[in-house]
Amino acid sequence: MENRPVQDAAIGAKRLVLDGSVWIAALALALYVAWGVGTNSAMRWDSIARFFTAPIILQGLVTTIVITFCAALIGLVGGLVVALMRMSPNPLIRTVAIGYLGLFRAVPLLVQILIWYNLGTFLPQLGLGIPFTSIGVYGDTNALLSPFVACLVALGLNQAAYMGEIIRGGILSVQAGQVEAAIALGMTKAKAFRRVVAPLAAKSIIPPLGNDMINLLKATSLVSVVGVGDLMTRAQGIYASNYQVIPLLIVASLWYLALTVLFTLVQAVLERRFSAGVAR
Amino acid sequence: MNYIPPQQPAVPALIRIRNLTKNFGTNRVLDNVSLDIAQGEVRCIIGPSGSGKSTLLRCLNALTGFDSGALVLDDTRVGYAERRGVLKPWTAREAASFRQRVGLVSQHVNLFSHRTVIENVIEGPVQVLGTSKAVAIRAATDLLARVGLADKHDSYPSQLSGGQQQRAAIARALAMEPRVMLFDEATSALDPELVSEVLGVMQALASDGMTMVVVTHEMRFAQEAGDRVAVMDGGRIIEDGTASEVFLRPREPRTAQFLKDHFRTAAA
Repeated sequence: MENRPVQDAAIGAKRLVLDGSVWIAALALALYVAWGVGTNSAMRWDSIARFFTAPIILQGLVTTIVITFCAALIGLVGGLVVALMRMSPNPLIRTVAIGYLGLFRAVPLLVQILIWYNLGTFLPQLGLGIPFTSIGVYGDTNALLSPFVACLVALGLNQAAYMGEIIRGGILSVQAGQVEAAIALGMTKAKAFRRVVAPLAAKSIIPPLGNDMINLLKATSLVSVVGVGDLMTRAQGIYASNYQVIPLLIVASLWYLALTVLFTLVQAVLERRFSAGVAR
Repeated sequence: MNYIPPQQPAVPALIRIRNLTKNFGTNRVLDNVSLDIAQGEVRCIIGPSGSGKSTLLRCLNALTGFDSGALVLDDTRVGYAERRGVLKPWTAREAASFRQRVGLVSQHVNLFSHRTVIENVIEGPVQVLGTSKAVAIRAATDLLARVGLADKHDSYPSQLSGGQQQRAAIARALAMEPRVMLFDEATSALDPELVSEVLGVMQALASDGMTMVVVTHEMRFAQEAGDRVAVMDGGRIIEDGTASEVFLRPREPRTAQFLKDHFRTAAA
């Protein structure tokens, strides 16, 4: 027992040396990679700087943000509906939700985008009406589902499936006793949901939600296959004519990185906002 | 449902329970329970676990329904309403509005963990009764002083001890100005040294004339604060009398056995 501090000091010193050498090795490796990239003549740092703020890239950036925002909104609202349906006491409603989740989580997102984009070749007319009659409102599928709308539908519906499970997980994480306490005070189920379940669920929903939003942001690059002018489409368009593939992919990556950092900051703010009462 | 009109005693009881029966599947959890509880009375209910005590309380708060019999609070028939001459189970809204009049403190303290103590206490009045926030805060301040938490307004539940949490839960229930307070083993989940502070608050509430139905394992509380004590076993009330009758001269062998078992485990 007496020699314990001496031992601790010895272990501490050993750890310091070990930590130090790991850091030095990592630094050396980073320098080597940076030097290799920096001195590669194909890298064209001047191009990266020029295209980073080029109007055409910025237009693509705006489109990417708009698609992300709209698909996130569809995903959130749709996800809440799917989650509530999935937890419904009615077996029919529950089955519909399970079917939706199964279908939209099974089909790859790229395939879903192509299906919505090409729907016109399969269903030339879309609309609402009474089956087997001519009563109703119909429109040309290709006019209704422009490539942009097709992408929003694909991303939004896919997002709703994933959000649905995240929201359901959050609702299930709320202790039954908290809800019963609200009910015992005389709250209706709807009010108990708004006042107690929703704020408590939000706390556990936010971290996976942040993950999902970042995934969605990056998944929007898939819409380049149908030529919606997002960030990725614009970058591809430019390198198809000037062959500076890697520099333009780096331009796109830097913008995705910037947006991801922004999302992470928003997530941190929201997490703090909803963490009231958590023992720290 | 067979409705048996309650007999009218000399002083009309606040709560009248008549032949209450409830089954979970084939398991009869309440078997022909009848009980009168007067205004201002403290009625303790004791008995082994699984005897139906908690289920009876949940019926009193309309948190669960029953299969036959009748339950009346003031002049309200609990759980069923007459519509076109037929008794129909309450709608969710009818049950919710009834629960405003009955306070419940349960074994597991369920203060809203995302709200401070004062926010917990005003939640019911503001959200359910529509009281203005200023008025609710004034009332809540008095209540928190009554339960000895005057200095804990802005604490979150996670920052309180179990006993403090349970006292805040009592204040939250009282904020609704209920006609009756139900306690479902309110001290069972607490560390032994925290039990007395909660029992003290309950005792003070009893002396203030609150009608209370207390399911408890605290025999000393039942003895000291209980006006009457009912003993339940197997879904039935097997004995009902004043505390000294039940504790000192039990008529039922099962009561005597339960008390003997209980005090032996308590002493061990």
